Amino acid sequence: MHAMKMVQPVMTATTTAEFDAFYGEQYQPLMRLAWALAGSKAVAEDLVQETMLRVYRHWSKVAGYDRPGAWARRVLLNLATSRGRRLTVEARGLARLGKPRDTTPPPDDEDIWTLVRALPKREAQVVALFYLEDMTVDEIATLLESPAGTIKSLLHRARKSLAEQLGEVES
Amino acid sequence: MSLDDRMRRAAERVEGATMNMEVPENEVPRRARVRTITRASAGVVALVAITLLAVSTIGVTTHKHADVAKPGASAGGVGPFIVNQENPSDPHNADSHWHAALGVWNCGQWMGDIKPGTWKWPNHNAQTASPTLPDGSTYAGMHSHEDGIIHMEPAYPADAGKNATVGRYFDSGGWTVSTDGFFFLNTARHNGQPCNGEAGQISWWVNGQQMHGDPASYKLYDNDTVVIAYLPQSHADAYPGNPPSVVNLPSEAGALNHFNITADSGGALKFVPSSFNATTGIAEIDLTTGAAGHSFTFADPAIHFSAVNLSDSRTTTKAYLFFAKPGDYQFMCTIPGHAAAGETGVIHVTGSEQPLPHNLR
Repeated sequence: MHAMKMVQPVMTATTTAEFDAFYGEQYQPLMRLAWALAGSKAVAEDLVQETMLRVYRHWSKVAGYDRPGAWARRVLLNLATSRGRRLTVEARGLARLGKPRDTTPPPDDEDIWTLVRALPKREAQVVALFYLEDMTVDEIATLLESPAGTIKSLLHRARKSLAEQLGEVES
Repeated sequence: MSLDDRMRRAAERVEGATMNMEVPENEVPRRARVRTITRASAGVVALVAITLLAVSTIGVTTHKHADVAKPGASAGGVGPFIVNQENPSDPHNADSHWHAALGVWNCGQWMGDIKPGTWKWPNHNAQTASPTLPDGSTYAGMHSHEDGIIHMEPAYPADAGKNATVGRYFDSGGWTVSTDGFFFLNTARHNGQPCNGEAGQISWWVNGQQMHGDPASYKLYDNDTVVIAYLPQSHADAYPGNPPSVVNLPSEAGALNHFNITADSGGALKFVPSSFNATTGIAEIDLTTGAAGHSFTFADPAIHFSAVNLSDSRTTTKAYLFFAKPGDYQFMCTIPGHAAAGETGVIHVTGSEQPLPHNLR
């Protein structure tokens, strides 16, 4: 017999309040990560809402973790990879239906985020976590469940291609 | 300026923009499809999933697939996923139990060995009653529970991700399906055999859309509705309609028990209607508010239904319930004084006892 049942306990008023606090605290940080990686505010909002929804559904579990925010970031990155395209299509569809959708790209004088988004997915994620979230290589490694060496080389490659495109000497 | 400096400036700009951004009100708990499930001692089960009618309905159609092999389906990131038991925080765990409604139409009727449209899973482990492959011992990650639903709960890669195909489901039951015909529930149909007085042929649909190519290789997605039909050639394009099993699909689209209840229409402390009939299985209720400040829950605490907050006026919130057993289910508003003033009602549930959908156990 497989022991695979996902138990989804009843939400109580307390957990809802805890989640509310998490939501208030994490909305903006998740939003900037999503916005930088998705390139559209509307898509980022959808991604963050979807992430929050998943966090909420698993709140009884997630709340017990040292860093529920890290779990949420992992969900967000996975969603951004798997659903980014679909959400973009949806956003366009909604735009056609005349629904006001804010497709503003993140503020960026130098189009750096455009370059970041053009990087291989994993590199883009590492760059965003490193610069936007101020995470260390070790923290990123834990979050992405990859060896630190892998993260280091992803970051190195990403910085190298960014530097080349920006005409910078990588420091 | 160094790359690091430029990156930090770019990061600051995004940070600045998000800091000034208004955090939208936390609607997540209301949107959440919180599947709170219980097996109360009385065997009464309520499943709740609450979601606001969200704009995301558009996505329901856009992510459906027109090709037998959905592009990118093999590129990873596609469920259903095997539960990662070592790491319960793996976000893929959220997609470890998918459902698709299946109907096999044979010249004018839905096939079934329980009733039209539902069938027994033919193979079980004798000790645990767990569904198995025809060998009687290997757990079948794709199976049914007398509900006409393809449950996708992989424990092995053979049932996961891109391997979760219609063909794998048929194989798992000891059946076959192809463009040439099918063998299902001891019935074999092959193209060209008589069907309603003429030669028949296989046609198939996913979510109402006619498909081409081999149905066996169709990779299933959550909440798909699949119809395999043996039809007279002159009517080979006539969709037989959604199969009876869609009512067992735990999704908005699938719920046939559908009701509208309005709280406080015109300022009265009552639900309209306050009494209605339902059948066992999944019910979908659209809860609409006239004015704000109400809630919806069941009076019997044995039904572990978290109250649905109806805190906004003129909005519609969906609630999904699973009625395992027939009976009278009293519902009420929990705002102090409201139930006493008459904001209550009852759902009369009839029908046979229904097995709890597997994902809610």
